[in-house]
Amino acid sequence: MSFIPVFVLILLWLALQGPVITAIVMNSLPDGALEGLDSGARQLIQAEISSIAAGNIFGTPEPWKMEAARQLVRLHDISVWALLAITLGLSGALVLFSRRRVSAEFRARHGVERIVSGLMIFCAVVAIFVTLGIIGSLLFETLKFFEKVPFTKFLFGINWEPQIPIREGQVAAAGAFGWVPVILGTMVITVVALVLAVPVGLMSAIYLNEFAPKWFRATAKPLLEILAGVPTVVYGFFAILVVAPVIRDFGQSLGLDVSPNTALAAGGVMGVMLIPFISSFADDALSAVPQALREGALGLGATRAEMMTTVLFPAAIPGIVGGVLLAVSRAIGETMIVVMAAGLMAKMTINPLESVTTVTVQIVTLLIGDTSFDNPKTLAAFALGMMLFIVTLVINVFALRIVRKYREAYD
Amino acid sequence: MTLFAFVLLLAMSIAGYIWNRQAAAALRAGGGRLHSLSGFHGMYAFLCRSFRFSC
Repeated sequence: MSFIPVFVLILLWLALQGPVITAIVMNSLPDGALEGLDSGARQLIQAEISSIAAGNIFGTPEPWKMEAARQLVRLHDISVWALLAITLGLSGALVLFSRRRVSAEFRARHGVERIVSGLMIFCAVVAIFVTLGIIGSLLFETLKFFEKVPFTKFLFGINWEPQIPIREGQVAAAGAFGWVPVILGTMVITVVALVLAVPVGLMSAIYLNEFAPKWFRATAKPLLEILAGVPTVVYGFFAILVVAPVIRDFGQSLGLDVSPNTALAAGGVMGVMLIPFISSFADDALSAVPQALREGALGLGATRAEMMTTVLFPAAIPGIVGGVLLAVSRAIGETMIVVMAAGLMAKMTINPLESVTTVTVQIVTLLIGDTSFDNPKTLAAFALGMMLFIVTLVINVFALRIVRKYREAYD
Repeated sequence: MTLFAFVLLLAMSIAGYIWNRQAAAALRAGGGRLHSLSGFHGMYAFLCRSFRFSC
């Protein structure tokens, strides 16, 4: 009956009515109104007509612009009423048509299942295409960046000073786009965070799962999970006001040279933020191991430690690695704590007592203030984003291979 | 105003659902043996209107 679904028809109509009406209005302008104008100037006139049509009139526009605005409003009204009429007519026809199909033989359930299945496929495809679109847009800007800055200079360069001038006469850095110090800072902070979060998270999961009395587990687990809901900016305040000064004072008391903003402070607080992720994932993975495996190992004479290392962990490793992976992704992508507690200067150092910066922080600093999408300073943010995406992807693939290799499958 | 088009479609779909469901229920009450439950007849009318390329 209807070969275009009404819902899709409405969406198509709404998507096309603006461009079509604008094209009609622009083509009906008096001769000579657009003569000799470039596309930018034509767009300005189009915007002015739209603005007048919306009731925002500045100064005294020419009569032909007023007439064009009136035509725009008129065509828009016609379009909306036509849409309503078509929706009503088509829907009404379909109501009558589908009513005629009701019969003892009609397989309505099969039809409903086919439509719902199609909708689910559509939703899955939309999610995939949106992801592909995001990657595509990132790739497009990244390629523009590499037209201006050689790929090798970016990949192997050890200087990062991207604050080059955007306007003429602006005082700024000479420009250096070597990303090594930036990714090194990211890795230092991530390692510091994981060194704290992985053991503490795993230990807490083991205790809560295997040793803790029920009342303690019932109290401690929700409290631990509250940590996951704390906004990262609050962790940032904690890092800058409490942890960083304590580390600085302690380091100075030992005679060490400690920066005011250290990778240790940012990474340490980030580690605290990650504990609930790892703990929760590991706890779920350990709980999912069949009780019979524990009892079998203990029945064969294994101690609890042997049971855990030889039976429990191999069985739970996919879940545990999943939690750690999530924590790594969070650590690499975390911005707020690092902006507040680590610093903005890119340094070639692996010393956690020095100030470092991360990829995400640099992306933020490159995209605030003056931006120009034909300037390497702004485009560098996309190149950094692309590299971050590739690094995260490689880590995920690598971790999945480890999971597959060490996984113990049980019925 | 364009929002009204979606509201109209929803209203017509709900009307189709109720009408078809009632028609199927009447068939069943009349002693007919339906392939699908009456709710599926209503649901078919509801979904077909918006998302199916042929009904």
